Amino acid sequence: METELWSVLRWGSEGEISERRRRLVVLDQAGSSGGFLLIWLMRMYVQAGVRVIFISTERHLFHYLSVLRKLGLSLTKTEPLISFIDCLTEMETISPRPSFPEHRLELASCVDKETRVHETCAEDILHELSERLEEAMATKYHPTCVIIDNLSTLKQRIGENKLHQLWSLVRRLGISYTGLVHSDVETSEGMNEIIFGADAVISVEPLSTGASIDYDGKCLVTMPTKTTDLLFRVDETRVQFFQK
Amino acid sequence: MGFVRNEGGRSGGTSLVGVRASIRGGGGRITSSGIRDLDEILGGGYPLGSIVLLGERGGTAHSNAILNCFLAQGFAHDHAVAVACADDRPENVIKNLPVRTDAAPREVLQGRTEEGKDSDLRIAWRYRNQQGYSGTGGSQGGGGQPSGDARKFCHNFDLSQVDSGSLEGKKLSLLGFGNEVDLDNVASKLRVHVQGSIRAKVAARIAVRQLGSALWEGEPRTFLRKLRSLVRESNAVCLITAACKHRFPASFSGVLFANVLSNCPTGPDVELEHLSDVVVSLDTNNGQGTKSLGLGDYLGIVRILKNTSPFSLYSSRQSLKMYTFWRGRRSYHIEEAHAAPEENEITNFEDGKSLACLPGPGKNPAIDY
Repeated sequence: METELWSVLRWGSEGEISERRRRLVVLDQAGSSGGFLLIWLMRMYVQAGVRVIFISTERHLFHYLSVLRKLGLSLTKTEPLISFIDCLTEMETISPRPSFPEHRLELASCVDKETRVHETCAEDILHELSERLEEAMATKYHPTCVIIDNLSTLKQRIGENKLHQLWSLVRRLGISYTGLVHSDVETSEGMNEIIFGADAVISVEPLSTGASIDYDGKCLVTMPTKTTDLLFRVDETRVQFFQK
Repeated sequence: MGFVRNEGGRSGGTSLVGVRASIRGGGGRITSSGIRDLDEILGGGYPLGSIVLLGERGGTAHSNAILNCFLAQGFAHDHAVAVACADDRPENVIKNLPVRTDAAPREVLQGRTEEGKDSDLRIAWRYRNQQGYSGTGGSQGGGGQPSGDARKFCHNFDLSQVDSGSLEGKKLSLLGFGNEVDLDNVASKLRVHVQGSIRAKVAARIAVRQLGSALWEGEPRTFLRKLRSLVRESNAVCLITAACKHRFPASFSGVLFANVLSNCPTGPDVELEHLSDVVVSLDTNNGQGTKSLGLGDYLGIVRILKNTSPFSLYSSRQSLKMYTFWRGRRSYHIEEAHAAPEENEITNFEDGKSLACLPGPGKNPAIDY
């Protein structure tokens, strides 16, 4: 039976998503990437009028915008609710960047600001991220959510201590957050603290039988009072969830 | 007016030789691996801007040969090629590339007319009407004229012969053994190489051989993150080979069609897999091939464990399929795995010997759906 993830998470209707703080952690593993869920959640937040601060160590902005467009988000008719912090670059940037259609950015009115973090020193990265978060929070006319893709790679870049400082800042600002963690490589207690502090944990796993034409994997949604098993299917233009 | 539209010039578009638009759309571009069957199971080729991780369990022979095809295809397209390896001199790697069998005489490549080409290649006409030769120009993968048009997407290579042609004029960077094996320095030099390819307006191919080898100095994860940021911003694709850790239970025959990733031990290869965009696994069953597994007599099994690409939401469901590969005299061939018809077990799924439709490694053998 097809269902909606936000109803399983007890977020009320899609229109009520912006009403209170949501803390969510997505766990994935090799063979079942959970990155699609972050983009899907970003679309849901933006459509609900939630301001999204997206911190990425995986892809540049244009990848996410292209996927959002495929998921049905109008890039030109949506309010400027997306602030993108690009933490992918770890070397001196090359110029020009032929894979960057920068001249197209003006068409994406849903993007409020794009920032690229060039620093390699962990302290500088943390400082940059903190500034951007507080800057984004200064214009508080919309509820805000921070999405991080992904926490495991960010931890490798800035270290566990700095990641915790960043996470403490996010919690101190009292905003919603969603983060992706690679569960098969993360064993530190620090990351466990982030996971256990969430309202809900979604584990993206492959099917135990391994082969299915209809489904791409399963999600185990764990909340304090309930655990729900879902199957999911991902196409280029949509994500479907099915409850057994 | 689409948000991302392929254009020549500013965005690089598909005007690069040996590059075509991805079937997934959205502005993604692909380039050939040099092996036609591998291109097909990957959805067309290697995506530009991606890291391709090729893991082989129980050896390095086949992954090295596939890497050589990747490099040879790059030279055929006049891409900027960089080779980094620590276990052998990169010059030796370049000297052992397979020869291109559809290479035209030098005079043809210098722009003679169609009639002129025909007169020099009378024998080649014999094969012209066979399947695979469309007779049309340039960018048809697997087709195109046998004269070796440089714009052909995937060329034919002969693995039994070594290309002894001159590398003069080729855009080539050799890194690693004999120069230095520090991964930070290799990353810096690769940045220079990619910058050069952008100035030359060609795609770049980076091959890193046996990244997990202890001969490299430095942190492989950090190197891979830097490499990833580099290829994301350029018209480059990076192929990395690495030895696979044991990812299948000891009784391999019982779990062929089951997903065993949940039982996979953590280790550097898992972290490399997370950082890669396309992950291909080769398994030769400890060199024994697939005969004892009831799949027929093939060299081993190929699995696409991950196949993401820029501007696309998810891996294709091809990751669920299993393929067998074998090496002909000239090239590798890959086809979908099937139980061999001579195996009696295909009619009996209860005696524990059959290979299909067994329950997975999980505690609950019931299927999910």
